[in-house]
Amino acid sequence: MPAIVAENLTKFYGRTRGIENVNLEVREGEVFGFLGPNGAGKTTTIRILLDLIRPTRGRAAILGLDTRQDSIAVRRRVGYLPGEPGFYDHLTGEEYLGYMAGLRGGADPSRRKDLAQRLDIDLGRRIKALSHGMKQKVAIIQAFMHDADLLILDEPTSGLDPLMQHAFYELVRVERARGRTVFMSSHVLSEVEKVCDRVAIIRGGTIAVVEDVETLTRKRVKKVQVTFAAPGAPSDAAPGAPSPAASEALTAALTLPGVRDLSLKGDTAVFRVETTALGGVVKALAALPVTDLTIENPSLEDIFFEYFGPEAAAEVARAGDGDESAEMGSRGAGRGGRRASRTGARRPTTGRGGRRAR
Amino acid sequence: MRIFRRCLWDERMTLLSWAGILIAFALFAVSTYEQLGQSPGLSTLMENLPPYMQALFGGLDWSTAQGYLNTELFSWLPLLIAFYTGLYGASALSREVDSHTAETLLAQPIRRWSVVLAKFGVIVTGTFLLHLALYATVVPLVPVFIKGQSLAAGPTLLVTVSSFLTSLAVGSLALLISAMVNDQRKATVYASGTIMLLFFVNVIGQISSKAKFLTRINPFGRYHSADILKTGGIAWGDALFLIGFIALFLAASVWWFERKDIA
Repeated sequence: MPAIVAENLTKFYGRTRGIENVNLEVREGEVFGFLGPNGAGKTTTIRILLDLIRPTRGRAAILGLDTRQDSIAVRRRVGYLPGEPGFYDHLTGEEYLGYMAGLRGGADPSRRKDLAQRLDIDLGRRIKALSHGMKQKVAIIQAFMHDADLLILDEPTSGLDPLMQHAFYELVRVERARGRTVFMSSHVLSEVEKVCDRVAIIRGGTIAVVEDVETLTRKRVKKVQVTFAAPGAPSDAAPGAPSPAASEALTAALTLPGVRDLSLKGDTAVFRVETTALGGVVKALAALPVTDLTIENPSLEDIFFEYFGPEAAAEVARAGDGDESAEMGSRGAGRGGRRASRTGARRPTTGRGGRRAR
Repeated sequence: MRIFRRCLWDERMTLLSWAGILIAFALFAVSTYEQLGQSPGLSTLMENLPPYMQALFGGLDWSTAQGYLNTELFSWLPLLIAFYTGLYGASALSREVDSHTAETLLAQPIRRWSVVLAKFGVIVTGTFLLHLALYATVVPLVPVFIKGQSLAAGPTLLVTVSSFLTSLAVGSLALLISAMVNDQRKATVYASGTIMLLFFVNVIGQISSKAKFLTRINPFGRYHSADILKTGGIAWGDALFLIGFIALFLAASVWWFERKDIA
């Protein structure tokens, strides 16, 4: 029995389309990623699944139960983390979680304690005194403490530092190992890749593609920027023209499979390369006078470019969250990335977000 | 029940503050009787008021504690407490939606109507406690501050019951506003405006015979403290109207909140 089935789910807010004909099937026991830019319809879909908003048409079922007719039974088996969780600020974390547990007839206090330890949070403090990240941890505990069969998590790592993101991913893996199903929305591609088995990409309110994460990873391309040593560039060359070394690299790179979208300016070559061809490219470049090499993980914008072309990528860029690095930058995780490059202040990627060599 | 208990507990300081205000107001009214109520100038002024103005104050004798307190305290009582019920009622549901707590709350296995009923339960309990505090203060205070006079416990209790139903009616109206409007601030403004409008429409209805019909559909128009104090009995038609009004607006709040999108 599928954990989630959505059939032609459609929601219009007046004349504005929220989602249209969303069809999904999430298998029991899998971690399913729901990927899309802001405003694509992720939260609307999730809220319909929880009967918080009512579809204009279509139906959904969770664990074989109709989300409208059997909504109480559905919610009894679902742990939910909202995208923008609200709190009773005057309560302590413990009181808040106790209140929420009480609404379900109680939850195992030892599980709550264990989750608090894993996420490193003191639940005795008043919620109003907690930072955004700490509040997010309380919200995560709230979703996980019920030991629900299905976890629906809307942008779960928002506000978490990288260390806590890892702790969260571990929680998700543990739940999967226990046979639980996890449905999580995100606009961070690398996050989905880390923990999900399958992913649906939603674009403009409709499901554009459902893929295994493996397939998605195989299809994805990395963006490579190489700067070459260019002593004695020809004096009669036009400004911005490729140097001889760069031209040589260009010729070499062009012959490699999986390389495309090459552009060359001065001593710097920029191109895209399929993940599977990356090893060959690095090997070819090793023989050349490289002074700087930056390899960026693809952003959501890049994935949209790959799947749907430049118009879709521009849509993501307009939505303002087309890449994980910009998102992470705003969280203070400092991975650098595309937003910097858009504003002309490129920062090299480091750590998990990319590789850098000099 | 858990939501009711939580919300009532959260409301304790507000209720204590309102009870303090009411008790202070009652103290003020009782303690000024000897200065104002027995002033011959004021009695003459009241006698010279046009009949419709006298009707506004219930036509009771100002020189008695009962008449004076009716004008100074009881005639304002439902308006005062309606501000509590109105403000709480207006924010009861809208605050949950506005601050995104409704999303987590309603993701638990609970019925939406149970949330509305819990909030209404807080309004009922709060309104009851405020009236109880006032009644328990004013009745014993009168013989202490006003020598040789007392308030009849029975009619005063009926006035309090009538005020309770009137304030509750306003609270149920505010609850409907709260169910309809997601923005807590807007809901509070709409509810406050509605309360003031209802009160002034009632005053106009009391003054003008052509606008008398306005008092019939207005909760404030069903509150007649002077008549209760004069006759010692409550008009059951008014009480039933108020109970029907409360039931209607409570049902409308449930209906609206059940079908609305929580976003």
